[in-house]
Amino acid sequence: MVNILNQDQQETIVELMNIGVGRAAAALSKLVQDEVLLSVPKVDFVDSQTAESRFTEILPVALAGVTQAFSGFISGKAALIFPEERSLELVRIVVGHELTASEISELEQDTLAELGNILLNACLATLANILHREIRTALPEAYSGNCHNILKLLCEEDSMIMLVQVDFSLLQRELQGYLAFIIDLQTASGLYDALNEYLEKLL
Amino acid sequence: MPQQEDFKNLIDRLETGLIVVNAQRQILLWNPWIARITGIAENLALDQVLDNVFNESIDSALIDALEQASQFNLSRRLSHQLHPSLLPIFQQGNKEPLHHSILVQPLVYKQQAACLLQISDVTTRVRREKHLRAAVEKIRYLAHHDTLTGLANRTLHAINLHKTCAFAAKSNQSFALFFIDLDGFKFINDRFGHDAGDYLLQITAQRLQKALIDFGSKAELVARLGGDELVALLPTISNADQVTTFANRVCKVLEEPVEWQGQKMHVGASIGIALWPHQGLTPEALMASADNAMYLAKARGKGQAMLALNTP
Repeated sequence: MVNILNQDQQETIVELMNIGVGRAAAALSKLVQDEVLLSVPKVDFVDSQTAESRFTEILPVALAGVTQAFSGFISGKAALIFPEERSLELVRIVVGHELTASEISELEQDTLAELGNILLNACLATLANILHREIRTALPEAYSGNCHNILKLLCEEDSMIMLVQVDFSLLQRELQGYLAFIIDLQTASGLYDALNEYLEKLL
Repeated sequence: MPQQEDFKNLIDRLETGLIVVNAQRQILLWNPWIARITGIAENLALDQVLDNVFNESIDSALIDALEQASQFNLSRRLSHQLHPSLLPIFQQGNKEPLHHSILVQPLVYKQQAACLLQISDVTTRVRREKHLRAAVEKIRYLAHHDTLTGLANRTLHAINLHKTCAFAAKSNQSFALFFIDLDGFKFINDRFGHDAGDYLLQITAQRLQKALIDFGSKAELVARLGGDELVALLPTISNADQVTTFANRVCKVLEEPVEWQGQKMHVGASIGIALWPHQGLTPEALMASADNAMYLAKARGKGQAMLALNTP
């Protein structure tokens, strides 16, 4: 395992992600009218194989959610992940329908993609804003599959990844999900410079 | 520029609305689809501010998305369920609202920072899902209700009883289960025919529901198990005497004659009562206790309510 960031930089990343997911949680709270609980982000530098075993360890087998690519001072993909059978729950909390037939969920898939979009944009925009850098996000895409398939969607086979894992849950309802930010470390220098600049300003 | 002409030809044939606006929301591209839907020709729309073209009736979520795209380069998907009317656009012909969703993406267009709006018509999808939703609701209703009386059926009763037991265990709040069997119902069928028997069951169901509601319970907690066997749940009770008094009152209500083609039909009702937790902790144990108590009520002369005997 490689760790390209020093202790200070890594702590800063955790802090920034914390602020970012905090904003995302506020956006989500407003939509679902419920308190959203978030874990402290866990940051790891892994290769794609380690990422897969990590995913397999913490996530259920069948997954569904939303991915969104981003590029700019850092590039990669962000994902909102649920156990597959609960993936539309968030939509139903917001929209208020209760259906079980999967063939009826075309519009709900669209809504799920938008909810993921709101969360992931809030997070990424906060990060870019605090670091005074630019980031561009692509359109969100809904997906479903197992850990292996999803990682294939999220990253290249031989890439090094900064895996930022955040667990979230709603206080009043039983719903848990994960946010993952997979940052392509080929853009590591952009991240490195941005963090250094930020830390220098703090001192 | 043959290549540019090819691209224009492609865009002109798209069955999706395309609009490009700059940071001031001035229109830089307005494709034939959106021209057709809005009735505003391309030459009239170009260079106009988007808000003016739509008479300031654009959903604020779309304005936010456009601002996020031009200021922070963020792409946004605006779904129909969360934003039912992003733009005031209508179906051609019938003038009903055109259900749509919009994708907003930052891009560079004619060498300036701009935003692309892709507008998709989801009207067919909305209509189809509405029909499917109604069908699913109907299926769900049929799976859980008795078609003759409209009461909950055995399946829904089992679910309700299970939930009530779980809630009682959590809150330590006692509740009662009534097992009701009509006295003399077979005679009604034999004497007046099955239509009359069905009608009597419908009236009995209504009377039972009304009595339960008056007592503070809910109509959906009354169920028909089959034939002339009915059950009811009383989720909030304070003591056994109060429940037995109420059950005897229900017997009287159900004894009231039912009029059928100018004749009066009379039945009675025997009710077995089981209380959680004393006469059963589980749904099965409670049902068995209430059933036994009902037979006891019948044996004691019918037309009355009996509390189950298996008290601790």
